[in-house]
Amino acid sequence: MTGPGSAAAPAPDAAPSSDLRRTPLHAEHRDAGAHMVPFGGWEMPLYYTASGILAEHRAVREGVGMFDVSHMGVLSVSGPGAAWLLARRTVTDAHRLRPGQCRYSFLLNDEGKIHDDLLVSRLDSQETPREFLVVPNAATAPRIREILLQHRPRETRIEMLNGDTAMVAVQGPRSRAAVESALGLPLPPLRFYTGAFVPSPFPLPVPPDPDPLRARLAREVWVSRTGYTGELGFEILVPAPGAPELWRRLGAAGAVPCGLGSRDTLRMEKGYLLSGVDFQTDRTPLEAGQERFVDFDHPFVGRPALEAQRARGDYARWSGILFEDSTAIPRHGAPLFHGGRDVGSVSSGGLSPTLGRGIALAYLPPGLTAPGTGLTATLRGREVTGTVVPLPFVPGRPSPTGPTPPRSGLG
Amino acid sequence: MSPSTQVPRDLRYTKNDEWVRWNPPVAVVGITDFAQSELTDVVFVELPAEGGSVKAGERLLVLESVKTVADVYAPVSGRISKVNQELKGHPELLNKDPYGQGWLVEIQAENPPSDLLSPEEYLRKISSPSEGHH
Repeated sequence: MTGPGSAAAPAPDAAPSSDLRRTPLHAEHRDAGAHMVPFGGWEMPLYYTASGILAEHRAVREGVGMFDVSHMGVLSVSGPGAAWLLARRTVTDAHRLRPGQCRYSFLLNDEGKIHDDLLVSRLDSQETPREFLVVPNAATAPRIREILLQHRPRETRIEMLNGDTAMVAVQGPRSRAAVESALGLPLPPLRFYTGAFVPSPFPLPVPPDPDPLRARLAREVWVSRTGYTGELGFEILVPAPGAPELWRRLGAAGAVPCGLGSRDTLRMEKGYLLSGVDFQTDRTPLEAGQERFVDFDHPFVGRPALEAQRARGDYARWSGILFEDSTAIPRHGAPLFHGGRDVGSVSSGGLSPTLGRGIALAYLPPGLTAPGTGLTATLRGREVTGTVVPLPFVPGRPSPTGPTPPRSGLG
Repeated sequence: MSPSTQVPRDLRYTKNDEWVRWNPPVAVVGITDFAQSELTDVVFVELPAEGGSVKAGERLLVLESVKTVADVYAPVSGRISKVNQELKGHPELLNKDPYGQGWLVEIQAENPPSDLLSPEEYLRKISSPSEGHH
């Protein structure tokens, strides 16, 4: 047998295992029989042998699953210049974020190309915003930190908290009950893409700490209604020493441990981008179909390039393609054809466990992005046909706790 | 490699992670527990036709999993006398029971298989970080 990995999406990182970082939940993963893989410089669960990717996918769509997302960057940006810095360096006008508001964002280069997608959350409730949590992807976090440091105004702190913190994503229609059970308190009525501090069930001695987030996490945990699965879900930021107890309590409340494998199939069904796979400083938010997250009415690095591109309008757009077949699965890199012409390649693809059909995401030239457009791919020597469809592939379902999210997206 | 990875003592192995149960002159062929754990959930098996002939080292069939696609090679030359039709509707048998209900094909071998690994040799191969997949 050959091939594991050969036709799959490239791992954003392939460092030798000795260099890999471990999250505060490593022992829990090992004890649960996780199949660990390198990802973004970290050793992370791909799936758990007791369940497997398909069962974990189903748990999140139908019940509740939990993901260790402690590998994601945790950047605390604070001080009187914090909002200015984030507004200048991301597509989000951070001055306008309300207390507790989270926003899916992008950090661009001068050409408007995406270095990374990130979640920007306002943590303070003072008159002018001054404390933010910025969550970039694992592999890109050091670079994002460097870029922010280069533009840092005086009296502005940028602290990477990874190592001191853990983050757990609890996702699925039954996630609220699991989180409330694990934290031992009712959650505030969080709207989609908002967060709040709640009393910590694992209080620590408050150390004298110049970073306001690290200091605060000794007594409180940050809970946001965010995620990467398109289901009702919460992400919980806790100090590292409390993470194993949180994980065990969530498991006792019925949350199924889930790995990167189902995280990938879940996000593909919803048409969410994966950093390093769907973009690697080569695509703009317009090409990626994310214009609605760009605040054009404030100055930011990359804006002139985006405005010029928007005026031209002739750019390729990230689109969803649904295949007729479940037996030939489109994967990263597979070329796509229209009328015999090579029109691009699959950036993310796989089997949709929910639909039981092959799905692919690809940057398609203007003129071929309209739903209903027919495309072909040659998979294992066989020509298979697909059709451009609106995203998401798997639509949301009504949620008792709020409107169906149009877009989730902690990359 | 997981500490619980199974390498049964009564089988022989290829360096490409296939197992062979040799009941002369029939070779029963499957993929190993290590192989299925690396593939992740198998979702489709492209089975060969019964009665066809294969040569040792040639592609025997293709497996599609959630994460990847993989070729399985014939460990011996001969005629494919039987294929596991259960896998058409239940590809998950490859993950759940790779040495039992997840068997792939039976080959009427022209000659006894050669160059196969003992369980000890195979275990050494998959335990070595330089030769394993990770």
